[in-house]
Amino acid sequence: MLYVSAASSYAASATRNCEALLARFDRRAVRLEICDVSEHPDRAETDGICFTPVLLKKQPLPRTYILGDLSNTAALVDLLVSCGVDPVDDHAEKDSHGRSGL
Amino acid sequence: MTMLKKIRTGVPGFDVLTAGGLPAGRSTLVVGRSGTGKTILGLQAAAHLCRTGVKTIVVGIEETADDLVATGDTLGFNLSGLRAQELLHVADMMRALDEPTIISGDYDIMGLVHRLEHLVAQTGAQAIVLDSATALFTPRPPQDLLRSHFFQLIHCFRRLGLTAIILAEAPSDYAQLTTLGVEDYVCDMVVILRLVVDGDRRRRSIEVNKYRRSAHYKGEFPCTITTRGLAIFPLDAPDRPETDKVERYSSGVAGLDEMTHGGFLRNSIMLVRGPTGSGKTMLAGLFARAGALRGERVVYYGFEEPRPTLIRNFDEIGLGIAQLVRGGDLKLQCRYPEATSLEDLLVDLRLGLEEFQPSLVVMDSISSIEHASSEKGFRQFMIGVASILRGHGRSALLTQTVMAGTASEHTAPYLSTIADAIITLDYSPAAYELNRTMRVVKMRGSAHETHPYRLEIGSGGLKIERWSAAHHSESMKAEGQWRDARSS
Repeated sequence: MLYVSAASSYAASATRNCEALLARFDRRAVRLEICDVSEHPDRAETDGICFTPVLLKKQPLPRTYILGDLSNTAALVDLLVSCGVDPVDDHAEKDSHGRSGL
Repeated sequence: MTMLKKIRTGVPGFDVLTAGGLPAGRSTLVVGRSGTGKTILGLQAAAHLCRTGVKTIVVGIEETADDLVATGDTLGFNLSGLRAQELLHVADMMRALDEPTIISGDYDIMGLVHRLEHLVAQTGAQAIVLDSATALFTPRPPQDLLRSHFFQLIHCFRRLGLTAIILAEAPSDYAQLTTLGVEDYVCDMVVILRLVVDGDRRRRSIEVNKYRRSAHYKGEFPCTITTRGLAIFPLDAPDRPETDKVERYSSGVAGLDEMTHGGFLRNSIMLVRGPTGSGKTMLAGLFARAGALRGERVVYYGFEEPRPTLIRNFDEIGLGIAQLVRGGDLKLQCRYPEATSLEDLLVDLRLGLEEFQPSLVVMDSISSIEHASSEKGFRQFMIGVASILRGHGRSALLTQTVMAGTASEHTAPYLSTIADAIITLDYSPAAYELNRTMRVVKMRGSAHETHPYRLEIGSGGLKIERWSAAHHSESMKAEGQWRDARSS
């Protein structure tokens, strides 16, 4: 889940950075949802969101937050790899099991 | 220029300190080290706001909502009741510690802003307590980002018309104001809570560091945390209506009534100074006894000896104190100043006045307190005592031990300001006995004898009479002998 605020300039860059990075990975292994907090404050409340943009990895556990507009891609790359999501350029073995939920 | 609207907090003394309370629709920053009572102040004010019809949101980041409510309930703020009535909303914003956060780029605080907009729309809240900014900004963003986040938050409160109390951690009592170092610029009021080591004791104080567009009391004021929350001295005493009527009552000693031209004045504080063995405690006992015999309620604080000893000593000279204590008109409270903090003694005194409703108060002696505290601590204590006594319109007799021969010398300025009347007891050695004297040094609102009277201590208490010629020559002789003895 990527929480953004439409009222913030970081929303666009965060969404763009996230999509661009995911394009380099096996997109089918990842389920990404984007939530505008200004429209769904209750969802932000459930997940304890105060700062945006923030990417919350819900599955697999533990839940992990990546705070910021993802202009520094290393953290997300590490996270995807640690969840067993493969980069697209080496898809010799396709990973069909275990989807990651962001 | 429009008048600054203020909202009362109900925290005893706080609304006097701030000349009316919190700035309405603006943000107030409360800073202090851990354990200085920030959360208590925040919850206490929140409870009062709710009770006076100002719906309030408490945002808990350091503690869970239930823990905050429980804290408030133990202090009698009834937060659970206010929450049930939907006057209070406690938002739990504690972060799960087992869920890691990684920083990857720039961010802002819009998530919280939207949540607050939503909460305010839902609850109709007009006030907010944030506990705390320090916890909210952990992990801490770089300084410029932090500044802009904090500004966004304050701007959000302002836009939503919220009267805000923001709590923040201070790294020390006197140096840098807050750990984050940015909060004070954008808040309209800054309040500092301190818990300072003062000799062997700890002393709590509160200071209004800044209040935009408003007058306020300046400097540190003593405060305490009781079972009912925070209270600030000496500003928590209610104002008494002025009265022109002069009412006198007997001091309990006939000779002293003569010296004061008809007895003590009501609503005044008497300071009795004298060396050890000059008869201060006895005078205090006679004063208390006379009050109780008139049917007044009297409370006697003994700081020098344990209760059984005090009762025995009084009964030894035939004052019949034990009987008056049993009768319920006289209350003896004996304690060791070393064993309690001065703030707690003040709270004790105030609660005692409210519950027992005495018309006369005795403290024997304030020197025991003076010796068990620092000069600054004692000064604050005495100012607190005077304010409590005056606030309740009580008469009091305080005793103070001084060196022999110095009783009439000047006292500390704040003590002579506090005392409406100063009576000195003294003695000089004669050949076979002590020549004892009593003198009224000052008495506001009354004429009085200025020369010393002769004092005798014996069965039944004190005998005070004018000096006769015989006494005088005896005394001159004694004084001569004393001088000779000293010079040899």
